[in-house]
Amino acid sequence: MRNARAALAITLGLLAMGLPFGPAQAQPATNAVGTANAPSVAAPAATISFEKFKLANGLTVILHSDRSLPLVALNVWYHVGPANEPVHRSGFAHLFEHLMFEGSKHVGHEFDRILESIGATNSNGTTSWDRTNYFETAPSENLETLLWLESDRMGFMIDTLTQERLDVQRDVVKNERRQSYENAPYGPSSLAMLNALFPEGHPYHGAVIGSMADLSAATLDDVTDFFRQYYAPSNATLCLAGDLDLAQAKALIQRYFVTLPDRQRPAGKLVPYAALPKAERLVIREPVTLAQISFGYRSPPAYTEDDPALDVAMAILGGGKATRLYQRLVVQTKLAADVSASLESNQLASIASLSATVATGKSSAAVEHELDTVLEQLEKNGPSAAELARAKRRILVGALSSLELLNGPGGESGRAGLLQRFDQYTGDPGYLPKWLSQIERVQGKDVQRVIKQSLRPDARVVVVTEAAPPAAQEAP
Amino acid sequence: MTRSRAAWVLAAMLGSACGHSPGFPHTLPAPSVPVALPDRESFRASPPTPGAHPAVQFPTPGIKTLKNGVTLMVLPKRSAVTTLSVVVREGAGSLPPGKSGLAALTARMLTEGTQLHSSLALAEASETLGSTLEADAGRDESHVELATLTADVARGLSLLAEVVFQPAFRQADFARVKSEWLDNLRAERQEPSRLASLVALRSLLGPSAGAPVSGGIPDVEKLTIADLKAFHGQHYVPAKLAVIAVGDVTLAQLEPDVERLFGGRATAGVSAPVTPAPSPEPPQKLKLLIVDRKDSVQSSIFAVQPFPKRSEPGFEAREIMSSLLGGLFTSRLNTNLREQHAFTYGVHGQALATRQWGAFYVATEVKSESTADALGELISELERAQDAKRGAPINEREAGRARTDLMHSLGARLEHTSSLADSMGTLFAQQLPDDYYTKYPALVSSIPTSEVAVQAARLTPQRMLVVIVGDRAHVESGLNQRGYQLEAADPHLLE
Repeated sequence: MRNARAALAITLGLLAMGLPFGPAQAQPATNAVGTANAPSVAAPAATISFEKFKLANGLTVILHSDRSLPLVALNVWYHVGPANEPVHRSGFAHLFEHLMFEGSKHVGHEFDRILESIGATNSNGTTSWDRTNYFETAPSENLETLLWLESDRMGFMIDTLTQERLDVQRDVVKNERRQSYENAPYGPSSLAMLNALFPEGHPYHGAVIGSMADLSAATLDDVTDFFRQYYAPSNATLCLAGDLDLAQAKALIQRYFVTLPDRQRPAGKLVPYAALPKAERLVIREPVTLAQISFGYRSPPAYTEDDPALDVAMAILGGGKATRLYQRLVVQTKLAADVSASLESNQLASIASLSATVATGKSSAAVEHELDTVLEQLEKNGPSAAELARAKRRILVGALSSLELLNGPGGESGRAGLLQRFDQYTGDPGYLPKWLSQIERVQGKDVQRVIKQSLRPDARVVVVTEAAPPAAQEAP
Repeated sequence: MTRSRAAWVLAAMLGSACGHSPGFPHTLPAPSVPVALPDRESFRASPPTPGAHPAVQFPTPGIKTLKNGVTLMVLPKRSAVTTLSVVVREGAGSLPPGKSGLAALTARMLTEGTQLHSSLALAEASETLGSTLEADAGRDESHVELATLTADVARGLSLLAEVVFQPAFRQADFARVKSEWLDNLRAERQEPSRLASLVALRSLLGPSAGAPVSGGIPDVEKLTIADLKAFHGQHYVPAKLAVIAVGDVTLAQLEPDVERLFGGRATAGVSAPVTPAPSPEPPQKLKLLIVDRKDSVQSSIFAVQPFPKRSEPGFEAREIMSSLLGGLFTSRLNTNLREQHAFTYGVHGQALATRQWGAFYVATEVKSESTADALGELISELERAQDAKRGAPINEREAGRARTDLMHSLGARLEHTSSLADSMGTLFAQQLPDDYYTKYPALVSSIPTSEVAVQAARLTPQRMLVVIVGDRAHVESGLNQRGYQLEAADPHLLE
């Protein structure tokens, strides 16, 4: 997850986006900080230029050329994730992601060494519910090497995989599970949250990391089946961004990808979105000293009608100091040491979550009550005009900052990441300005509406992490 | 701000590796998948030859020193967002004993209100610009940063000037922030890997130099608003302060505003330099401290030894050495502990180098039952690098990958105004030449592998301090069998 190869998807609370490139002049300074409560300037336009096409074998390609730095980013998304895992194979899509770095027929087992030797940076893969991505940025003279590496594992990864390498990566992933969840503060609580949000039967059941038992059960045959079914060119989108001669890039893409065998794109899982049928409350004891309260909700799929208003609602609630949760829980009542609000937008169901770490000497019940009060008040009275403007401006500046990069962390931000992200969820890589204008159009009443509809006390999971000092712990 | 500072804050494991085990068969057809290789694919057998590397230079910033001593550094870059920061050339390394946490807490309190604005009004003002004021300290510097739309740069600068020169330091805000800060220190100590690094550095460097930047709990409990005012008065002075801007701006454009906002501050007498911390000594032999964490499914290991400080010659050779040992995904440590033995999800080794001291560490989290084996491999891997006669001398290929990675990681910073501002902050805090980064690629490529080996010979794997946070009952007998004796960490080291 963090830093290492296997990064699972990170919650993208405030989506990053934006392409600037409107020359803006610095304004003369005034000393009037006090008058700064309204945005001084109109939002600059944010677009990412691109070209999208398909190869004969079904591979989708998105190209974005910007020759201002001699860098090129490759970012390939396979439209497969934990949502597609067979039953009792939770964690498999992510385990497979690890195996993609094990080598391929013509490249051999030197994948990472080759990347390091050519100066590639930010090289990684991540798995999220609906997709698995692989990305790296390199000096642009190495574009062909990147295409050679990426096409070889798309076509021939399975040829070189052995039981021994599967076993090693299975153990590495189990260590990842221990490090990121079992042994991490609030890790067991976050797994409990996910299992309650997506119970058995939901395609998202089992968390991205999966269960130890399911990881143990995975076989080499499973890998072969998954590769043949989901790692077809027709189920992938390749994006290149940066210092590209478009004609040359297209020729190279043809050379390396077009002969990869065409296989039919598998049908996606069509599970209509539904809110949680009921409220659930879980109490988890962990060896921590500070208790924590988390509220988790299913919310409408990525980029559907209410999704932008939820982005704005979350930015009003958390993420800065002038936000509702921080002011109410940390500053005014001093009940919490830390608060957060995030929205992770996905294909079948998004996940909205609020959480607060209980301050020393304060009660979890009081924190839970205060979280509810903040939500009720925002739903009842709506945000002030200034709050609404600040939230939108934070989302915009976050988006524009992200556009500075070709590939952002996790391959889901930066220009290539955003083109891919919008293509995955809306089918339109150029959706960024549409999304931003939806954000700009959100009104107070929209915020009230989406809180009422999606952040409902009767359709959520509350996880209370109780602090159990390590000495008092019981053996599992 | 620097590679080492990031590792401070998190003691995180970067890196991971996907490596090649020596002697691994090159191609093994999976039995269940007969894949015919059509002739048309044979072209894939030879790797492409890259073209020439386009000339790219890390820009040298425009620099101007104002009359009162404030430094202005500007790097123009086409971008919709401009990163602004103020860097002060003093941080946790400048604190007297018993005051740990003071530099970081002072930085944080700057964002809690000014003489003109309440804490809330200030937060609203920065968030109206679309950004949050980020303030923190490292060992060698303190900083406040703000990202704004380029059109809002002037407003951002006046906000920063106000925050840096006219903080309110109100008692009521301080009481609240201190209590929040203490809880965050408690939360940090819940993280086993963080705890391991905290205990190890304190034990090696002593309670003062080894205290975390964020502070020890007993020290922070005793800090007062007067301490913050004193630190601010002593160190946030023009001669030690730089204003940095990276974005669609130029030095000429910003200079009048910066002169007006920052240039009026009276020049203060520069305080006496802080007495350098004594050079830490490694233990006489390998020393193992354990923090017992019952039922822990992993052991967090942090092994550390003294190493040269930042200003000692060979800094870049030590960067190459740590990169090939524990920085790259294919580093020796990651290849061994993760890719060959699957003991861990990742392992990271790094040379930390501050103005006052240096240390080399390796950090990893391993499954409990592998603790002794993993530690054995970790130590032997360092021994192989240290003693070329007995072990595996540093080879040209791995040194080459490390050099390439260092140069291109710098190149990748060109993408982002915030990363560039960070690099400018390092230039200023470490008093490096203005063109240090411009010349860095040439410098790094000129360092011979023999010089990297000289640095590796300074490793003392037989005399490291190792801290393990894990289930003592589960791991002790295995460690004893290997001849490692455990000592319980003194509870004060955990505070």
